[in-house]
Amino acid sequence: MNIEKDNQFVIEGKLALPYQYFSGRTGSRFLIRLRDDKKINGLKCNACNKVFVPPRSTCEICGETIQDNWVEVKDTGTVTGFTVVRYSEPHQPVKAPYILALIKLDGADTPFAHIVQGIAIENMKVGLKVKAKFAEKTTSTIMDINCFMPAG
Amino acid sequence: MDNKDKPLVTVADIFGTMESRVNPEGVQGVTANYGYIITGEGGGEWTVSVNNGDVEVKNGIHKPQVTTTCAAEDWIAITLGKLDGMSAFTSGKLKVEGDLGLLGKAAKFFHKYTPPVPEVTVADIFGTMESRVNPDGVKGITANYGYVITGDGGGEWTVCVADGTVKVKEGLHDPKVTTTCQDEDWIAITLGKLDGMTAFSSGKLKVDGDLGLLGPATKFFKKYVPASGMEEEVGEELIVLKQILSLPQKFSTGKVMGKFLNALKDKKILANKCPKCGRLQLPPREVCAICVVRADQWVEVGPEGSIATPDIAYYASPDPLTGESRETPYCSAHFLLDGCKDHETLWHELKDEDLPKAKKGVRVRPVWNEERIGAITDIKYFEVID
Repeated sequence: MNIEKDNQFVIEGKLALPYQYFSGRTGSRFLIRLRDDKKINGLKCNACNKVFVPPRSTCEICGETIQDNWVEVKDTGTVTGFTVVRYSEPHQPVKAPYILALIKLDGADTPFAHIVQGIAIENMKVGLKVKAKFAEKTTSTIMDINCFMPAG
Repeated sequence: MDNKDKPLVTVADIFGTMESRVNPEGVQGVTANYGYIITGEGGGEWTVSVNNGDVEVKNGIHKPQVTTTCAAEDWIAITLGKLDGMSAFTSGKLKVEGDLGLLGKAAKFFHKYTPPVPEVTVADIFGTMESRVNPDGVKGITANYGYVITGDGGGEWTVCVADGTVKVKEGLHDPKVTTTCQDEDWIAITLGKLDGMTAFSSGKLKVDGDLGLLGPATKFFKKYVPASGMEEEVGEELIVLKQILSLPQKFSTGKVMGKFLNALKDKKILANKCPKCGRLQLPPREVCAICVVRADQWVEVGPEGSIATPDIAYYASPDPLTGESRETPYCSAHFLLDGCKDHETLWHELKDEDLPKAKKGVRVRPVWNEERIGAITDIKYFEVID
């Protein structure tokens, strides 16, 4: 076969997928209060005495509809778990490596995931007290909290 | 809808406001008459004449190239975005006669229609409360709720709830909790445009007395509908995120496809030939798909040829490179290049301007890009040889 080696090469391409995500009524209220008031709100089940952040319209324990029981929680909390993202891809909000943590906010009973910055990866630990840093430019997304920083 | 309430959105209003809603970019380069036959109560006949940027809406049908027939209620629903035009068409609610291709362009002719806004007053909100009582919501509650609404359209009201019955009185009468609020904010809260909790935490809404009574109060009444109809237009803000997710990809050509693509740089189109059955493969593949032997002989074909199968697309899927849908109609085709026979065709695009000439057997030639990088897009498209 008379095929020279330089006939092999790589073509760069991409696949673009348009999509839309509907936050729902509960999710929208959560995001709107975050965006307009810089306040983090959860939904409380009075029967189980649990506060869910991020909010859910139905109690995950007893199944009760709780969509109107809004309560405000603090913008401070405790890290209950974390991982270090070391792989970079274009859709990440920040460049790898970065810390993705589960944070239980003061006043909430469930943890939610967000980025922790302002601490070296080797010093990161479960139990760290953190405080939300709100974004200056809002986008109606969870990134209206820029990240969490070590508190104090 | 009640007979006494005249609907605010009428077909006549939709057509009557069209000229003021023209989107200059949408009508650019289009010249055609669009006829509309709207049937049923409130219907009529209209012609939208588009003349390269100018739009005139006339009563009656005047030499349309395409005519749309639709019931008045469906046409209103389509205009308000409650009914998708495409699904109305496929379900037969909307019928089209004439040049269907013209309709795709028409979707961009006009800015969105917004219905006339009904006047909402604080007095009307309180005045309709007794008729909007939600029996489950007020059950077991006995308390007087005072409201001080400030501003020009404001006033004072007391909502007296006594275990299932509700009386709304003007003035303050021994309230257990009093809410003070600006008239425009109260209207916004009632219509769901302003969140009550947000209004409270930002100080727009002030509460004196037993705050705990306010929680149950959100369930006392059914939704307020402005006097003049349009019930579905009022609503709270809901968040939808629209994004284009872009995944980077890499494609290794291999030796055979690489040779084909490299040759395009020199304006050469190569096919490879099966040594056993003698058929050509275009674009080439390493093995003859029929004989399963290595196809190791190369033949230059074309570059001219003829259209074997034209395929005109009126509905475009999103372009994988951008996520956006391209302009329609466009034509992709299988081209039988000189030196090829039967199914030995190359799939590519036909120049947009040649669309009316897209017929089997028409002679074509490739149009090459100035800068060629070894990709199938080095051929811009094929054009008809006149």
